[in-house]
Amino acid sequence: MLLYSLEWIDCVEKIRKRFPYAQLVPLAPIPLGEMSGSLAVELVQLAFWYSKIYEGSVDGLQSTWTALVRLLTVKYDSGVVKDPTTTRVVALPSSLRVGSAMVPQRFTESHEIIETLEISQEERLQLLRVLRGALAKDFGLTGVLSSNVGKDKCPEDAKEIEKIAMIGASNMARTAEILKDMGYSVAEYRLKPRLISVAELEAIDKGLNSLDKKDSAIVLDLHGNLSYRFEQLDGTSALPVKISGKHHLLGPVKMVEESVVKSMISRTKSLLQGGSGITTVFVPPIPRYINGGCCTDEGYSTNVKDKDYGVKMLEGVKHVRKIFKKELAGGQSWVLDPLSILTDRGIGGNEEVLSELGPLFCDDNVHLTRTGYERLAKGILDGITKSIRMSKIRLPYGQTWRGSGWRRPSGPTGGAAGAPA
Amino acid sequence: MEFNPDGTSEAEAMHWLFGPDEEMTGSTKEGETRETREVALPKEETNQDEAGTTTQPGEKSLNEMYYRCRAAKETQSKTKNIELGDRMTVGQEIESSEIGIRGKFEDVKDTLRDCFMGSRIKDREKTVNQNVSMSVDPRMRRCIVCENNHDVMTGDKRSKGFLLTDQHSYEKMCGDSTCLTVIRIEDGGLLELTGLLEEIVGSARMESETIIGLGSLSYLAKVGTTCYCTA
Repeated sequence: MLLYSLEWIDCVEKIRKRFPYAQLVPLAPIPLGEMSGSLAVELVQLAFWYSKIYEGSVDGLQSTWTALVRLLTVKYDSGVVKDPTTTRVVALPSSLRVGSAMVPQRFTESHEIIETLEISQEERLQLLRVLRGALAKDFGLTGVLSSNVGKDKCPEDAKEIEKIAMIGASNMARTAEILKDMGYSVAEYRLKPRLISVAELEAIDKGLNSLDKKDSAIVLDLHGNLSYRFEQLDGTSALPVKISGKHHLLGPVKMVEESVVKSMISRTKSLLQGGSGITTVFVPPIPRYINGGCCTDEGYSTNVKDKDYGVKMLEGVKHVRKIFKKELAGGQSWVLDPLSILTDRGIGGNEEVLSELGPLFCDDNVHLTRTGYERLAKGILDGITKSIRMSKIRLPYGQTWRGSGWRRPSGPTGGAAGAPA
Repeated sequence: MEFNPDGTSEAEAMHWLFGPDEEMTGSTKEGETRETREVALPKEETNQDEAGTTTQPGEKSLNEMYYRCRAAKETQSKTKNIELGDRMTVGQEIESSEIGIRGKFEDVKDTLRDCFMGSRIKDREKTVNQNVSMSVDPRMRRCIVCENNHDVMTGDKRSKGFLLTDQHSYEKMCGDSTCLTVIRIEDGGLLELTGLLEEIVGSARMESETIIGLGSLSYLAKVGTTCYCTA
């Protein structure tokens, strides 16, 4: 590490003399294959040194180092916890000047060093996307992409989509962060929790109108906060109530009724016309309250201890998704299947799905862990790809694509649902 | 490293840079000559590599020189001295088994198909044992991985960035409008990489706002484990 940093300083000097107009930046590696745990530790230390030495400057590519450190840290955190922690002291140059003083830096390790770390193909791709984003953001080098991406099974959208407009609340905001890390340009339209006003939708519609149809995609998660409710004494359902800064369910937890879902979809659809002609991914309600209710107070979320509670919630999520698919899928629109995306086995039995979903939730039983959002981000990209592919299918004259099959336009000569071509 | 010190042409000065079917001569030991080689193999042939593995049509095979340089470089990794520019020489013996990263060009050889690839034992009088992969033809300084086949140093499509790295990075980074030049040396050091850039750029001028990304994970693995103390 010391030798590496000293050599780095030599290179800075060398480049400065030979290419005075160029800017030397530390390039984060995209590890190929297995690496030792101790090397991972050194990489983290090197990232620290770079961030310290280039602090406040515009030498860029910081996000690629951040992504790499995050990736390594996550892998490390799965290792054995060390007791007590070990402190390593590494002497590192205090500046980029040749011959600058060495300053001891202390690094604390709370986990045993893992013998080996494997960086998967997908993780390499993720690092590549972050690099791509950093080059665009820090240096204005847009459109740069390794042509390897296709070979590495990157969704094809990477080549076609430059900007993703994400409309939703906290779940979309967190997923947007991951997509940004992956190098996508993301425009966020944040909705107020549990309140969508006509004025708000009109403002969003205006924003969607300004998108370039060719290289943009829209991701809509409008109904997540409106779909999880509690049952009132009269049998109707109500939205969670905010008490002392937190939302609570004052009775048995349930999914929104079918008629309400349809009404919500039709009202929002009529207001969001700006996105027509643009690849659109609809996100049906992402599962919530699977592990438990809004809190541990027994007066709230009163049915969470019922034997079949989890299964009923899953069935509810599936049913609402079916309505979404029926109402919205087709043309350039794709409806995600959150259960499949999050568990990779949405078609498995409910119990299996529940056991896989469980660890993906935070303590509030509403928000997902980072892994959960990463899966959601990947699912959204896959959805965009599928939507693009679907829109490229040329249909026989007079037919339009609907999620449930081919349909002829209604009219004197048109029938209802036609047979597949 | 001074470019073209003896007044020879650029192509001659880049004596190690080999195009398809080009043969050069050099020296492995003082007074001895050896053959030099090329690595850019035909794209649609069935070949047998050093390990005797038959490759499929379109798959790139690496030739004997690649394996020779790689083996020599791995032996170099055991050296006790590590040069830090002209200022100092420090280091310690490192067993190759301690080097903490796997992955070589050989592991991604199918991705090298469109790249310029080559090997050299010596750079003039200095033993270097370099296996390189580049997105540019170093003799002509033209990009060979994108459709534009543009000059990387001049013109509207000139490269706005040079990535100097080892095998732990992608071999090309190009898009519709922008292209980065990727220069890689297998298990290359930082000074080795900057030296190679100087050699390729030669006397040409690098425009302002050009970025040079530099990093080598294999080199960190090689020198990184020294100079520690534990509290």
